[in-house]
Amino acid sequence: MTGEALKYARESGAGATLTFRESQKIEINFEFNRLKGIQNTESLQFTAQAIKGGKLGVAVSTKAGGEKEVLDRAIRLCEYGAPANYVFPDPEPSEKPAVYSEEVASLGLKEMLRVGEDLSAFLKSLHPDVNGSVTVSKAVFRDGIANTNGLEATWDRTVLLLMAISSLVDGQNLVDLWDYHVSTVLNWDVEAMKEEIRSRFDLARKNVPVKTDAYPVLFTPFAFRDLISPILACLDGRAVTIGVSPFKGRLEEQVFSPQLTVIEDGLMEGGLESRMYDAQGVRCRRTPLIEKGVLREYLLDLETARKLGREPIGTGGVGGIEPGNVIVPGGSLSKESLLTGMKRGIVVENTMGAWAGNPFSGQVSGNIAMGFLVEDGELVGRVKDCMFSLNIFTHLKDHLVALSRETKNFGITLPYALIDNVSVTGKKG
Amino acid sequence: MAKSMKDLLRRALKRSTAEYCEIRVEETEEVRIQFRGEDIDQVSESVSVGGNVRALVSGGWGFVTFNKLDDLERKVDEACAQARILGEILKKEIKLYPVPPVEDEVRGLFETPAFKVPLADKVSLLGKYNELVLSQPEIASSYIRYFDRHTHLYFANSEGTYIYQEKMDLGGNMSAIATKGNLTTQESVRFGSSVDYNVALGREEEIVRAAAAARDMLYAPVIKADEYTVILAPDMAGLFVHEAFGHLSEADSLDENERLKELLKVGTEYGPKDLDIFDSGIEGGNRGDAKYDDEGVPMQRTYLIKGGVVVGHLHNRESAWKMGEKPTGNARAINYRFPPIVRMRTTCIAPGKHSLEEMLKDISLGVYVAGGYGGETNGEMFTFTASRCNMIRNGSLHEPVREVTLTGNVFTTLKNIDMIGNDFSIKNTAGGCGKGSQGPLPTADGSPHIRVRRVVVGGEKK
Repeated sequence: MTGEALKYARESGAGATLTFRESQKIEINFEFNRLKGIQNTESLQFTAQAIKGGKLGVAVSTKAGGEKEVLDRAIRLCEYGAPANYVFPDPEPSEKPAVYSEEVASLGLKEMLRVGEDLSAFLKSLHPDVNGSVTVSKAVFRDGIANTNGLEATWDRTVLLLMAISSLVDGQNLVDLWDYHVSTVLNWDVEAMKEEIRSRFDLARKNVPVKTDAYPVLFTPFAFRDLISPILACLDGRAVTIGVSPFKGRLEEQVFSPQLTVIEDGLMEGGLESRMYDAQGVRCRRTPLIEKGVLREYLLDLETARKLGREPIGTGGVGGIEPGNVIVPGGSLSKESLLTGMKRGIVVENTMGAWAGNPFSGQVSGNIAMGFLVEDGELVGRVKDCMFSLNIFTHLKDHLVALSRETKNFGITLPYALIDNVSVTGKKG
Repeated sequence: MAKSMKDLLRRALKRSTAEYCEIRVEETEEVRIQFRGEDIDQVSESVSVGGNVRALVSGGWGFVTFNKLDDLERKVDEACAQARILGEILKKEIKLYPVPPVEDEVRGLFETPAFKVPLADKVSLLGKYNELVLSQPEIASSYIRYFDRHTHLYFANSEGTYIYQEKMDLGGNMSAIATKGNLTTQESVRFGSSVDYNVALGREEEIVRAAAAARDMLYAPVIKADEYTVILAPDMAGLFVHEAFGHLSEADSLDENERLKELLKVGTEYGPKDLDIFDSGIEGGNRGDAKYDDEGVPMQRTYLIKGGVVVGHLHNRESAWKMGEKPTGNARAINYRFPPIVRMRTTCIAPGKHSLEEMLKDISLGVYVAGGYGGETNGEMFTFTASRCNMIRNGSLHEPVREVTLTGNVFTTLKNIDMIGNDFSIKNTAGGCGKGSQGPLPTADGSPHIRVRRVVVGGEKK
């Protein structure tokens, strides 16, 4: 069917790329310490991109067998579409990323229920009034791409997710603690997840005041994502070509601390976003974007690569940039040593609202949704009703103390980051 | 089409062995248009066809989605079988609050249907807006986004309800982006509607004002971090009420949580005597408005707070049964891939009696906050970021400040509202709510200006 549809596109005088994604997902949910539901989601989606008369048309369909219809629609839209001064690439060999596990694909409902019940019972055991939520899911994806130049490839991926949330209403304190595991293989460590939540449960219920001041702050990988996301927005080739990115014209410049490296790797083993080709048919690869603080490359699609005189790197999306796996390699110190080295500081585990705002300004502010005050290397209690604020362009250049050697992969792979001189604002009196 | 779909769904539902079973089928066509800088960035169309079956047995929900309509009966069997597996483990009595079965077809309640406006006209309109943004002084770039969607939604359940609803949704966001050295600032014009394409028209003056605001922010300092008295403009106050109290009122997070239920129980005082908060799906034309929710329950206006006191909650049929309250028409699913959960629609603070001048006059140092980038809540705390702010000094508006993010405890902040304005407006945007990974779900917010004491504002160290 795909071949016929692409033949039709060629006969219509269009260059075209057709991608599809087929998925099957089973998710089990536990809420309020009990089994709540099973969801079995089947999904199919075709996306067609056509270039005709130097313009791009895009169409999407979930109709089974709808390849020709969706391509026809994309060709019709070329009349109105974006200028496309490029052609879809000729086939170039790529490798299938190691992201499929038969163990995950064949994981049975019984085992998923057992793990969910175990975690749910653990959460309940923390406190009689805890409301525990657990999600166990497995998904199998088949992705494919074909274009009018003869490219044709498919690859499979599995994703396993386990998430546990402990919620306790303690007076007017709502104490939410959570941990999760996400991977392409069956390697969850349920006992480690329990320990992660148990270790902070009592501490999270002990509120301590925080004075407005500048502190050293240890961001966990999840919280550090709020500081990396605006960097990715600034690295976006589209933001560079239209002139809003502060990284425009600064390739090979030292923009961050030498401790910070950011890599795009669309082929990463176990990468949740790994794929053979990007949505435009460019083979994926590993590319340093920031290397020891030096700006080396932008996230590029075919159009922005051409405009900037660069080679595409396999991060083209449909009408935008789509990074694969973003990796910030860790440093040499353990997360414990970063913590024990703090005389008085704050650990930020989870933020709220820090994603909002203008990513190109570099300013990141957010509520510290779950954070702890550190005194002489020890966590002494939870800080609440307070905000952190910093500027990534100055703080990740001049105030990045260290990155931990431990990293966590949740679509983006990040270490713990210790940053000095972070403004923290608390309530008065 | 609608009649044969009714037969198809009813025939499939006869297979149900569950205590309750429902089928939802959706056909949606969507148009997206995007400009970035000088060029059009994307024109796309999508067609989405699919549905789901949801079944309940002894407290366990089975949920199955599909893309093909040719094997509905098997999908009903699968959902019932899943629910039965869970039901045998749970053996729990969960009922849905009884509602009368409905047969209804809701068609074309639109003023100007976006799906009847030629694509060329939409591209031309947005292209002109883009040119206007780029022609403004010190504006370096633009980001214009527009979408509209037209949905045929079919719903039937094992209680005899069959509803067909034709829906429309549209939204736009037009940003002017100013740069100076390495600093970039932006301000946006936003619109949205469930009935009228014409809300996209006539936005030129707002665009010029937004560009001026983005330009002003280039020269504005970062606000000094502190606790301030703030005046929230209606758009920010609307965002505040959505994040700060609306989410807490969604009863699917209360119905089995005794402590939270106690905190939010009817009769509890949380605000000043003139504070009224409501959520509604019937204000007219707002994003998320419709006749029925995704369980076939008619929408309504639901008061959450009246006179500063909790008077109600937002419900689906399950949470209503569990809490012994009536369903409110707030069961919503973003699309057929998700089951309905309790969600807001248009959430509002009702107007009070104070003018903006009265609010300003006794503030010696404060912040006027407008133009929401976005916000979030975790139940007890909320935060949101504003794009257009001015310092208030000695009772009047002064210099602009940037990078203003506010945070606070929901309960204490509601109590710290000390003045509610006599103006009122509902804001529809191209964004929405992101609860339960089902985002952005179309919602709207409404409010007058409000004044709040002791709000923590993040920023540079003093």
